[in-house]
Order: sequence, then C-alpha cells, then structure tokens
Amino acid sequence: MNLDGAELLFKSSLHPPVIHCAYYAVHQKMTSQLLILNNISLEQLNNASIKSDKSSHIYLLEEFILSLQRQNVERNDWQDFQRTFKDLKTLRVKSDYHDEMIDSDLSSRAIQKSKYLLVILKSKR
Amino acid sequence: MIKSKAFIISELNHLHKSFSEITLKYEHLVCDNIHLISVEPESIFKSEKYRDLEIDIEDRFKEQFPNEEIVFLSESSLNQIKNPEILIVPVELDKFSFFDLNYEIEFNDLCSLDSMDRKVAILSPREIVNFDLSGLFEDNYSADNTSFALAA
Repeated sequence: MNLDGAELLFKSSLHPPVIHCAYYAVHQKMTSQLLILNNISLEQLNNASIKSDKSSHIYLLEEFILSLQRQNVERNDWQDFQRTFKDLKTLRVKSDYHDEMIDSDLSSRAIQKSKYLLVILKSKR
Repeated sequence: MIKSKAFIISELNHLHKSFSEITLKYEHLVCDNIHLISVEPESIFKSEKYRDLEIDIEDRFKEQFPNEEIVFLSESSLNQIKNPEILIVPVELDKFSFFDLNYEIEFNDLCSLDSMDRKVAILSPREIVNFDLSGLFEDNYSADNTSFALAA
C-alpha cells in the first residue's frame, strides 16, 4: 500500500513524501518476511531489536541479510540488496528530517529502487 | 576526532592504496550517526576485489561501532556527496601540478604517492588534518609532503 501511495504522490508532484512511502513499503515488507522466515512474532522481533541496542531499522536489515545468507543467496546479490536498502533509508532520513531537495527524478528513482527491493523480498519465502 | 571517523579515514587510505584509480568522498551525518562513503568509478564499486574489501570494512565497523551506520555509495546511488569532508582523488604526476589546486582557503592539502608512484591528492578540512594523521598515511606521508602542503 505504501508503494501505491508513493506512486500517487509522484503523480501529484509531491516528491519529498514519495521517498518516505517508497522506503516504508520496503521496511514493512521486510518486517513481514522476516517474521515468516524466522517463524517469530512481531513482539519477539521487537524485543530482539531492543536487546541488540542497534537502530531497529538496521537490526531488521541485518537479520534479513543473515536470512539471505542462510539461504545461500549469492554474495553480490545480498550485498546489492543491502547497498540499495541503506541508500534508500539514508535518503528517507534526509527527506524526512533534513532540508534535502527532492525532485521528480530523484523520487522516480527512489520508487524504482523500492520496486527492486520489493521484488527480492517477495521472492524469499 | 571521534573514533569511528578515525577508523574510516584509515580505511579510506587503505582503499586508495588498493585501487590507484579510485575516487573516495566522505561525509558524516552527525545527527543521524550515518557515515557516507562515495566510491567512483562504478567499475571499481562493482568489482569483486572491492566488494570483498567493502564487506570486510563494514563487518569491522559494525563490530566496533554498533550504534553507528556506514553507507557505501556509487555514482548511481540516490544519495550523492556534494560537499565532502574528505576527498581522495587520483592525480597523474605528469599531467597535474599540485600547486594548481586552489583549496588554500578552506583546505589543508596533503599528497602522497600511490602504488604506481603517481601523485595523489588527499584533501581534508583543517580540523581533520589537525588530528594526528601521520600514522594513518604511514610511509607515504613525509616531512616533504608537509612543507608542500603548507606552501599550498
């Protein structure tokens, strides 16, 4: 739903919030996939994240990368996933909290990166 | 200087020694504890040798600084570093005069020789250069370089 929101915002030329939605589309899908892959509840995931003393978003990413590695996903594939996720996450931080200029080209590319990440996430069951 | 930044400067120097054609930019988003490193050209960013080194750096960074984040960027990334705190660029000795650089107001300039004996300019803002970098640049950083930098 967040990705649909991102595309609607893009069509309305509301570019800064596109980044927020494009990122959270990935974040939410990654959360749900991790619950399935690790057979844990959201509460268990949140508790483990708190115990790790890391940012919850980074904990989520690291756990998902570990699950890819356990599935013997090629190194270059999980590294590209990680690079793209962190790139999108950083832009989300800049867009939400800093005075970052977000134009149509950047928001369009953010949607494409979000779609790339979602394709990989949906393929891991 | 915070320890994580010193760690990164050291790793940038090692990367520069491993890839003579590499251009590296660094920016620290202090409020968000995010360290951005831009790597050019894309061919190096996608190379197996570089990928190995990046994973190694990331693993050691996570181990030492679990509350901070390191993000590696390329020319095709969404984020681009426009005002780097540190810029490391390869410069061919026979095509470039160090004195042509015009950073004397905002930057201290250091230079070193890469693995192919080409001059490489390492440009850093004054507060970073004032930190003791002599150990980081090892044998390539000499007294001659220092006076050269001061002259610039």
